[in-house]
Amino acid sequence: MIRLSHSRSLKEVILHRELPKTRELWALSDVDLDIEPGEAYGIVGKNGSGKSTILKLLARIFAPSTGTLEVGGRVGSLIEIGAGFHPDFTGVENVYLNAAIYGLKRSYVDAHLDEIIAFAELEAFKDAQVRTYSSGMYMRLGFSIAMHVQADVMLLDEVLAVGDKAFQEKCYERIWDFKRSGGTIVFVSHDDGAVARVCDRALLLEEGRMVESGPAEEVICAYHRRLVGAAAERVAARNGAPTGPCRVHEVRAVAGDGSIKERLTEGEPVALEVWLFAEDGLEAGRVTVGIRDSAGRALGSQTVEQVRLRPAQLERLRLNFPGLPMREGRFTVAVAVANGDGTAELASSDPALELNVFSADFQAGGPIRLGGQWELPSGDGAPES
Amino acid sequence: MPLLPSFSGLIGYSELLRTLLRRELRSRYKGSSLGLLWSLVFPLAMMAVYTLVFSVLWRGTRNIPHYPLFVLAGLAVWTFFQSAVLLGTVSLTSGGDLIKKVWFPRELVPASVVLAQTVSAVVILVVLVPLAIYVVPENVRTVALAVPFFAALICLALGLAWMLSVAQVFFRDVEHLLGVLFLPWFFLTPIIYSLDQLPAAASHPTLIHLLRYGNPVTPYVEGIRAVVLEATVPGAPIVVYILLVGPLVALLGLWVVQRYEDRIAIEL
Repeated sequence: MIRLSHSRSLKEVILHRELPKTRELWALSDVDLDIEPGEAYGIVGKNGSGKSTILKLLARIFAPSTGTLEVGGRVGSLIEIGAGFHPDFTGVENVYLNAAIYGLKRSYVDAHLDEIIAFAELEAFKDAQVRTYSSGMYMRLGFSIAMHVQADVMLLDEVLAVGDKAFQEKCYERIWDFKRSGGTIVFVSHDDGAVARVCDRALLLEEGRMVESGPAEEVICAYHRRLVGAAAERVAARNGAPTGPCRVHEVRAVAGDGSIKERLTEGEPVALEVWLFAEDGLEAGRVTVGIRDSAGRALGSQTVEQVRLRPAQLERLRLNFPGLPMREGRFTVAVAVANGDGTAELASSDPALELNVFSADFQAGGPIRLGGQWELPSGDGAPES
Repeated sequence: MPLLPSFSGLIGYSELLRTLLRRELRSRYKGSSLGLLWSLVFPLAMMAVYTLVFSVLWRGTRNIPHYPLFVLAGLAVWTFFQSAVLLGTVSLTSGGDLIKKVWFPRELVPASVVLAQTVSAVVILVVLVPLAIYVVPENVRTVALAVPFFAALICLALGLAWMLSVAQVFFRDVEHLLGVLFLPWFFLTPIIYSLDQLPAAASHPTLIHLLRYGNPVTPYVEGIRAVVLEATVPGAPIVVYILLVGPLVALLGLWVVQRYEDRIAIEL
C-alpha cells in the first residue's frame, strides 16, 4: 500500500494533532504467488499495474504493509540499471561501489574485475568517469555487475529494453546460463515476447490484482486477449455499430486440420480464414489481407481479385501459408473488401485478428523468417587445385 | 521488533560502509585543490576572529590561558558535532536515489556521512595536539584520553544523526528546525568561554550546573579540552557521562533506523 498525502509537515501534525488526511492507494492487493527455486517467472501487465512494486518488494526496498513475503537466498536485482553509480567515479570504482551495495567482498571483485569489465565491453573506458558514459555503456556496466553478483534470485525489470541487439543477445545468453545453473529469475516487462522467451510461468496483473497466472505463453495470450478486447471496445465506441451491405464477419487463424489457433510458432503451416457476409452478394470484389507488427508498421499484404460472394450467405476465404513468415512478436491482421476496380471500399476490419507468434529458433535474428535453401560446395573432400 | 538493535548490517556491509565513506569524501572535496585542508580553514578563521574580539579587544579572557588554542579545541568538537548531525540528518532524504533502487542496511548512509566528518575533525586535531603539547608539555600525559572521548562523541553524533535522519524522512521540517537550533546551541556550549570562569559562575551555581549537564555536548567539549590542552583529567562523573551517553544514544539511534527501515523507501 502506498499512502499518498499532499504534504506532511510538523506544523500540520502539531496544529491538527493528527497526521494530515491521506488518500490510500493499494499498489498491490490479493497477490499470492509461489516461485519455485530454479524457475523463471514473468510478470506482465500494463504500466501502473503493480509489476515493479512486486519486484521492489522482493528486493526488500519496500516492505508489504500487510501480508507476508519470504525470499530465500541472495537477491540480485536489476531494477534500475546503474542504481548507485556515482557519476564522478570511474567505471572500475563504480564496479567496487556497486558490488559493495550487493554485499560482495572486495577480494571477490578483485578476482572478477577483468571479467566484469570485459563482459560490459568497456575495457577502453574503464578508467573514465561514468558521467562521460553513454546510456548504453551505463546499462552494460550495470548489467555486467548484476550478473556477477552470484545471486540465487535475479530480479529483472525492463532492463533488456536498452542496449544494442548484440549486447541484448549476450544478456539473454547469460540469463539462460544463470537459469541452467539453477538460478531463479523474476522478470518484469511489457515486452511480452521477451517474457515468453525467458519464463516458464507468468502472472498477469491488472490494477494491482492477479488476473491470470500459469504457463507463460497462456498468460501472455490472456494478456493479449484483454488488450485486444479493450481495443475492440474503443473502436466500436468510436465507429458505432458496423453497418453496410457487406461486412467482415470474422477472421481467424487455423491449423491444417481447421482448428482455431491462438498461439503460433514461427514457420508452422497456418491459414488465415476470412469470413465475409454480403447482404446483396458481390459480383467481382477484391479482398486484401494485411499484416502489421506491434509498432503498427505494415509488413505485407495479399490481394485477391474476382471474389464472388453469394447474397446473404457467410462465405469463407482462406489464405494458406506453408510456413508462417514472421518471427516472434505480436501482429495484427487487417482485412478490407473493395469493389472490382478497387475504387470503393465496401467493408473493412482493422484489427481483425491478433497473432501471437513465438520463436522456435533463438539463434536467428531479425523480423522475418528468412527461409531459403542452402546449396553447399560439391567438394568430395580434396579442394580443387 | 527486537529491543536491541542489530549490528549485522554494519558489520556484514563494512565494505559498503568504506565505499560510501570514500564516495562521501571524494564528492565533498572533488575539484578543490586544498582538499581536506579546507576543514582547517573554517576553525582557524573563527579562532582568529574570536581571539581578536574577546581576547584582544574585549580583554575578557585573561583567566583563560592560551585562549586561541582553547577556542580551537572547542571548535574541533563543535564543528564536527554540528556538521555530522546536520549532514547526517539530510543524508537519507538526499541519498534517495540509491535508497529507492537497491536494498542495503539503511543505517550505513548516515554512518558514512558522520564518519566522513570525523576525518575533518582528525585534521584539526592533528594541528591542535602538537601545538598544545608544545605550549604545555604536561599534555603528553593526558592526551591519549582524547581518543576514547572522541570515539564517544562520534557515537553521540551518529546516534543523533540516525534518529534525526529518520525523522527527516517523515517530516522534512527537521532539517530547518536544526538549522535554527544550532546557533543558540553553539552559544550555550562553552566553546568561546569557560563555564567556570564566567563572572556569574559563583553566584548562579544551579544555572551553571544546568548548562553543563543539560547540554550533551558540553561534557565532550570540556572533557576533550581538558585532556588535550589543560593536562587534567575531568572528574569521574564527567568521564562516566562522556563514555556512557554517546554509546547509549548511538544504540537508540540504530534501533530507530531499524524500526522504521521498511518505510523509508516508500516515504522518499
